[in-house]
Amino acid sequence: MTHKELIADLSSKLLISENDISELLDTTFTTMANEMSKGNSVHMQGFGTFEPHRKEERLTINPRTKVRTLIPPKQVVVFKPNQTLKDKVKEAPRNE
Amino acid sequence: MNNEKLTLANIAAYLAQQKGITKKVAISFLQQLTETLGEELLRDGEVKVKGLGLFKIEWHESRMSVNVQTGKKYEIAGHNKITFTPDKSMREVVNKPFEHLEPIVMDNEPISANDTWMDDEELRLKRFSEQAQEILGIIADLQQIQPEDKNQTSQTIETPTVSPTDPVAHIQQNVSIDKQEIEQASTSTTTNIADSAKTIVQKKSVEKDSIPACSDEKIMMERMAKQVPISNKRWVALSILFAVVVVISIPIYYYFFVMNHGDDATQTTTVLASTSSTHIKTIAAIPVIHSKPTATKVSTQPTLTSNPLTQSRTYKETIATETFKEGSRLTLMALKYYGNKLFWVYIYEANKDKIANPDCISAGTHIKIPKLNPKLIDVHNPQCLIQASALQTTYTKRHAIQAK
Repeated sequence: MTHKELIADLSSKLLISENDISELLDTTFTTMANEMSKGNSVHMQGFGTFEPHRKEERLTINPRTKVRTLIPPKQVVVFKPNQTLKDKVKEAPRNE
Repeated sequence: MNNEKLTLANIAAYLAQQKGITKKVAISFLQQLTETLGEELLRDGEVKVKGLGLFKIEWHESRMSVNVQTGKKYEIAGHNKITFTPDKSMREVVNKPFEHLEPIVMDNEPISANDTWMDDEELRLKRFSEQAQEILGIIADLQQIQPEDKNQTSQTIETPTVSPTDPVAHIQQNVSIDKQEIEQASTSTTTNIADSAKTIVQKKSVEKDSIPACSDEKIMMERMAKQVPISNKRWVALSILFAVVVVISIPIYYYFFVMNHGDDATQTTTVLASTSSTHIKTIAAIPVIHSKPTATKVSTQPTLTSNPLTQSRTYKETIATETFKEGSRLTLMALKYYGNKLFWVYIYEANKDKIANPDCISAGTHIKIPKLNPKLIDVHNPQCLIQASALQTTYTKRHAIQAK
């Protein structure tokens, strides 16, 4: 499913114009991202939780050139699906 | 960092506030969104949402595992799992607290180049000291032989001014003796190189020359040591030949030294500084009472060459002035103007009156880039780098204490 299909689907179900839906989606996601950058996690009922995870700094060595590089710490998004969704997915037929 | 757990209600409240819609509509929108996402994911196995990321269902093959408590093996059946890859825009926003950090390369090239240079220098010095040891042994052998055939040479070797325990002085003395012999024996035109040097310049040249001269000496001495038992006459002839070679090699080596290193006079001085410092170490390692020529040499050279590093720095001239903007760093300025990040400390020193804390400089500050002694910021000289990093640690420590 693509972004366009999602917008069309939501628009038809909620009876809101596609433009408004698109704006709402943008605002939602930027809000979520901003909250996660502050260290807050966002719990979406019936779907899962988006959590910010801090990755510590680490030292890497390029095996070819032997150059050691210090990778700084960073914060990444981790999605933890809700248990019911997990179970549903688990039982879903194997695709591909 | 506060680790709160926000729910859909929180987001809905924010949405309602921002978009001028009722909370009810916002909540229903979000619920519909999650519902659709879940449904579509289950149906298609893949949902791509702009601004959020890509959800995908991936098949995990069955695998064997061990129950940690019972130690029994069991099979984990193959199953599907949801993977989530955040969108680039999402990743960037979430990583905002750390976005200013960049990967730091620990072994950058200039330093590694310096390392090899140091190795080379150490190797040469090591070879030199090894040679000195060998020559010392040969001289000792010669001294045992000499009293039998020549009284004159034995007297000159055991001159009262030289303490017998000093190997370096001994070699030098020996070299000068040889030279004197040649002056007497052959009517060579070289003037007074053999005279124990009185000016510093002459001393330096003798010191430089003694390194390659030693290699000649070594070969010659070895030959001598082999052939001495055969005949005394041959030994005398060889010693004269050896002395001639020494005298010839001095100007030749000096000429090449000037040719090779004359282009960058500054570099030679810095090189000399380091060589002399290591040189002193090697000399000091052997318990020695320095005779006069070596002692003066040791004392004069460091004072001459280590000056640019140790002297207090003044910042009168400026190359340029930079205005501090968001995202600019002292280290980057140092890299731009001096070629190495470490030298930011000098910029900081020049602007101490304006910068309270080098880690936190307010935008709009005008930073003066001082003109520095090129010897102080020689990227290829490890001592400069060491000096700069030492300053860096002192400043960072000081500000860490202030911050507390």
